Amino acid sequence: MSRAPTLARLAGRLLVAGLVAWAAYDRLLAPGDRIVVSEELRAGLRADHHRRTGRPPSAAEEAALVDTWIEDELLYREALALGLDRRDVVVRRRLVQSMGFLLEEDTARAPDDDALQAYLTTHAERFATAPSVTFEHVFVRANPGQGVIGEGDDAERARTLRAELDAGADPAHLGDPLARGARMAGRTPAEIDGAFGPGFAARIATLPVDAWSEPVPSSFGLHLVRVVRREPGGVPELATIREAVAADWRHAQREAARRRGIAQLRQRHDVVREDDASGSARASELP
Amino acid sequence: MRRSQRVRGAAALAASLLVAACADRAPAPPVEQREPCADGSALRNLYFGDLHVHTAYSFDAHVFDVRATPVDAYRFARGEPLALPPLGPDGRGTQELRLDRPLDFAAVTDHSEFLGEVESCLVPGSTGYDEPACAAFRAGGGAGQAVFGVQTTSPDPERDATVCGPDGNACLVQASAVWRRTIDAANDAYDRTSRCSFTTLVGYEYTANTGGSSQHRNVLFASDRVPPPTTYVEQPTSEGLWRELRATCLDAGTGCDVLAIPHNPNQSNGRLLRVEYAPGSTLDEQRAQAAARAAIEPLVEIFQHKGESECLSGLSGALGDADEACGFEKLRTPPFDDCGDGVGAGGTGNGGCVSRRDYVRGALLEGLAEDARLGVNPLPLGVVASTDTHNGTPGAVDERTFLGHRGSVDDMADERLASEGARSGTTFNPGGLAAVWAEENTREAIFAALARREVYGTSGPRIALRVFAGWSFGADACSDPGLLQAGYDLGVPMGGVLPTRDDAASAPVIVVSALRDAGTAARPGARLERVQIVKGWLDGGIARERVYDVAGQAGVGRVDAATCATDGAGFDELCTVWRDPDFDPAQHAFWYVRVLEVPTCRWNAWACRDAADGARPASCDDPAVPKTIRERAWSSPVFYRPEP
Repeated sequence: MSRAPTLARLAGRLLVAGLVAWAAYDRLLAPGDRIVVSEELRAGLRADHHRRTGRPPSAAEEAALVDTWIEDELLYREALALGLDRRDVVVRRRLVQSMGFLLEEDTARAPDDDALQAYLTTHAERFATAPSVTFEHVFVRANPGQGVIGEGDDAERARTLRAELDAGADPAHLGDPLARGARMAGRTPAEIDGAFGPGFAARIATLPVDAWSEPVPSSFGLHLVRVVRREPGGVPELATIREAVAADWRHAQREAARRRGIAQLRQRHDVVREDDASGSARASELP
Repeated sequence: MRRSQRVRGAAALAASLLVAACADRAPAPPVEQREPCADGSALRNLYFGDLHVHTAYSFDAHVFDVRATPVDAYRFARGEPLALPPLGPDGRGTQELRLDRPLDFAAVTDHSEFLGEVESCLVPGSTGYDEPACAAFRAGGGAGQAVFGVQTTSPDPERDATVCGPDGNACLVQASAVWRRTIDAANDAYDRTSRCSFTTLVGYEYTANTGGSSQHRNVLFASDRVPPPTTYVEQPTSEGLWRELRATCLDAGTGCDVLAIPHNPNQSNGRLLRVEYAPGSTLDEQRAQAAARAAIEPLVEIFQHKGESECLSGLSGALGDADEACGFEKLRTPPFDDCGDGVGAGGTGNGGCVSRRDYVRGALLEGLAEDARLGVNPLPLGVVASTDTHNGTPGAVDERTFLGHRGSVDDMADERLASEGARSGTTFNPGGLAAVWAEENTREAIFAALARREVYGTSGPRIALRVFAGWSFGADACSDPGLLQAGYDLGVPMGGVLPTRDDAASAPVIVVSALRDAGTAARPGARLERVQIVKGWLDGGIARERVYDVAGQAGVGRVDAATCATDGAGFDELCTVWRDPDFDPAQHAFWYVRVLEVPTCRWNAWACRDAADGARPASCDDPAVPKTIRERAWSSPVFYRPEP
């Protein structure tokens, strides 16, 4: 009962220490019994303490940090010598994951603008935005259940309201309320059709800016529309969507790098399948 | 209790390992920096989404050949195609599905319980990979699902030591890596540009099945500052879930915010929405517990692929006329007993008793009774709907293109159209959508709308439904072009609590405005039949309910179940002002709105229509299987509390 958590805790501490002094390990793991506390390592311990506590360690704390590190290192070396790392499933899994991260990070570290621009160009459809429009409208309800929109009293009423708008009336005080509101900002044709019904976006696509329209039918009634502004669609400049492209790029790079790395490792190792490998294709599929 | 504390220690270790591995990442800024949204509106926009989505990270999806990841699910929600089972020889799906209308938001909510086990069993070299349990899991099917899933029904669940090690730690370490991928997928799919075209919420499903009664909750976070998932294995009680969410999120001082949405009370045998207090607890302790529950669980999922949970006529505990519209997408099939005040077991297998609390209306009435007793309502529940897809297909609610919800279980038409026995293919449905009124399409705004309950559910169609309640709306409110502003100025939107009554007002006035789903040019939506207001109230300690038709026309609209052709009757838009004719200011009450569409073909009727001659499943001609439905929307309630 007590063994596993202790080992696990130890593994956790070692991982932290290992990350602090990652660069120093090549030297430290050289053959021999010497354990070297370099100024570089000491600075790393100081920085780690600062990061965790928000302040630099006192002299006494720093001495304790170094002592703890030395003790951990002694135990770690001994554990490696006994082969505990190979027997401990947590350590094994962590190393597998770390190696996976290393493979992935090999290329995924810092995409430059050229790489992202190239990615954006080849995946333009994923980032392209549709043109959008901002407009306000005055809604004129079709008489519920009384036939075709725009062929009854509603058409006459809409024409009267338009005359009032042209004479400078406040649109906020005209027409009927609509659940979705009287103003749509920055909406794409698909979103406009989603809100007003199929075809509405096309019907307002050619309206002049800043003028009240003739009555435009939607799925719900008639609308007097004033387009406030239009934004062209297209593939945005990289600078405006850099983060989104980088996220997508990283995802693609990670996948590709991992596959490449594993393929290379497979070439360097002789993988002997003594099992029945026929059922493994499906089983090894990652979620 | 010792066991679960020890395992929590292991989870904390897993978290610290994760932090160590990510130590080179910059910590998240306290307030997210992002461009303002171009679509912002103080009067709030309507967004449709899906808050209940499983992918291959869920143990009960992978065993049925589902291979979609959270990345795939979010891409599907944004309109990209996804390949569904059955799998071809290359291990990829062979049926393609895509949404004709992308969603505005989504949350992937994989089962938190076995994220690590699934990963361990699928990655060669992992702990347990070679163990019989993992081999059985990989073999898939119902037996594979049960390998780990059986623990969700145990009152004392534990992790499989052969897969997870003696302390369960190996699986928790694995789970933290899977959880990281889930968070990354949500962050990567979240549109932070000024377009604000798509929002993701980080979340998971907490999967309590104690006694075979569904007590599941979807846990959703406001940002990506999230703790490791709470699971039924480590916290096998709802109190444990709430306690841990408070400790690791709400009270953690990290800026974390969270809510939990219980779902499928319809198979919980009275347990999911039961209000329980420790024996001997004082009234103050009960008030504190009720308030804490209401704060974490402001919503309930009223509809999804495993049926509707709104109402069932004839159960004990509430007086009112039978409501014919309650006979909608019922998963539990008679005969069953009425739980009365008690609880039962076995609901997820169509077993055990059915409780009034298994339906939202009954739970709301119970909340009123508790409010009257304690002065705090533990169940002031708003409503949403979602799919609960296990195919990684958020928003795939179209009846006509339904390809099933759970991989190989129902990826073939004859499986979906099987009607023999309980929980056969035809008892399920494609699920519904969550609708949200929010200022803009961002995590902050969507989460805030969920928390204040200005949200509603639909059985699939994108019906627009706006509700305001107050004391002073005029009879001409539906002709007032300033209605929306007045709605917020003079009253409260759906989900709100009526403000203090002014003395002159005799009764609350509810304004309802509903627009039909216009659909697309290729697939027009159906018209509206009726708007109803459902009232529940306490009459001297007796729970009462009543349904009022307030707009539209009952029975308008016809559909031919064989051809699915409709007569086109119905309403494009309905707006009405309704004053409660039976209001008593001394009585606790709630009102919610139900909007019914005209009848249309249910998914199975579309499938039967398209079935080849000679390959027509028996259910196509079985009168016991419904062929048409009246799709609908349910608003969150407005609440009234008498002045003390």
